[in-house]
Amino acid sequence: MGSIKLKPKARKGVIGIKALIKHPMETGLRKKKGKIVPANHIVHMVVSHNGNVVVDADIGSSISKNPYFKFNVAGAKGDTIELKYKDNKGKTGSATAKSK
Amino acid sequence: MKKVLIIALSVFALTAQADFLGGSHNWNNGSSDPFKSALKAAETGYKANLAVNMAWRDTAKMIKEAKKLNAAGKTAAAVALANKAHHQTVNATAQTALAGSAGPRF
Amino acid sequence: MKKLITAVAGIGFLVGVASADVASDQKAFIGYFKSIQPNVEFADYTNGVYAYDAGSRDQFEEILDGIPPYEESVEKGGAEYLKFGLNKCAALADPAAARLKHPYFDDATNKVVTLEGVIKACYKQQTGKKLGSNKGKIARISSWISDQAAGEKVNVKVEGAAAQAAYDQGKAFFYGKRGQFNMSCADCHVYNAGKKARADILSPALGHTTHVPMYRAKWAGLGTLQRRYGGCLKNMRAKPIGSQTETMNNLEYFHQAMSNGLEITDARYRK
Repeated sequence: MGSIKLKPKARKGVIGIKALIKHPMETGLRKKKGKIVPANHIVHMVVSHNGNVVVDADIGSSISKNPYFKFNVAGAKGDTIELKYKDNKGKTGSATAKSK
Repeated sequence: MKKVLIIALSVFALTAQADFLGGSHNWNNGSSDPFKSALKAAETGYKANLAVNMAWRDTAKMIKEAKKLNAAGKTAAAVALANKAHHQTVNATAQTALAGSAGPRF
Repeated sequence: MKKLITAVAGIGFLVGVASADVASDQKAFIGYFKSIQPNVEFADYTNGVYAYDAGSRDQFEEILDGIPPYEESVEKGGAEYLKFGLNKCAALADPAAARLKHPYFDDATNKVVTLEGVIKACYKQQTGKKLGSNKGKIARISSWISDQAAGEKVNVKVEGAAAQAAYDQGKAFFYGKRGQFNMSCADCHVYNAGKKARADILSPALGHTTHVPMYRAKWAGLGTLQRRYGGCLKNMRAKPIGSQTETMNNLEYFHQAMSNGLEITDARYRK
């Protein structure tokens, strides 16, 4: 749906992963000019570190627009972090970054 | 006969005219008068508030709702709401008097 | 005759307001904040409420260090500045200077001129279309322009009787109680700054305008200072006053002047 900004930064054996996903995150309950705005939100998100899944999250409609996430995972500079998501409409998004 | 007719006609004319005066004269059955005066008070007050940028948030909504209630025949509720709106405008006017000289307490 | 009456009424109005110059007003203003928070330095007020609360400051710094959510929008504002030919207007040709100059009192038109006002005028001139005053394009463009002056100090000038009158009107507005809640801007942002209103910490008015336009998490987007004025008025259950009107511009004039000497910042994130 939208772009992902992914910024992993390693410090003292821990990678702090900051992610900003551009997504409207419509709940499907909101009305605009009398009509319901259809649901359009992320349902599932996976974060991997060097190919291993470290976060497997079921995301719901209560998460707000353009969500910002932060995760900590054991690792070092140069490790590969990947974030993938899927929304209720079946659209997917992904981003990969090497930890600084 | 003619004199009686003239007197009767003039009395009729005066009475009919009184219907259109509204407000203070209550010679008709008074169904919309209390609302009209409450509404006028609210609308006049609100207009004055708007002119000096001191209007309250909900006054216009109350006036609109009061008109709806009155149109639906709920006169008592309409008058009550119009009075509530008018009360808001009175308070806003009181604020206006103090607003010009407002300043820091330190 | 009408002019004479207006002038006399105007003077009468002025006599009602305690007319004092910006410098002494600001001194008293700063002194007040020092008295309620003795440990906060003047320069810290650039970050407003974050100067008061450590917890929210940590979150603020985290976000700035990571991915400020307004980055893309501000970049877009820069592209739009060029795309719509705003660099061709004399007032905006030097964006950093533009941010520093506004708001100012224009003796020729007898009005306060704001940065957003100038952007709107230039946009109309260059494209023939109208630009909103509160969000979207204007917030992006104004943010980008303001970014160019980051690090410079706010320096609003109030010189001459007419400018002083506008400033005094803005000042009276700031301190006047209004709305069904019968509260003034000062009630929250001066006399109760640092205290909580439900779950929010009331920001001090000192430093309010160093980071405008601002990104508010509540808006999930950028908005101009006067967008916030409208929101605050609604919160006091007062009817909002149109953006870029004389009353709101005079308020902005006073409001910005109270932050004179503080650094303009590009850290626009607020709750």
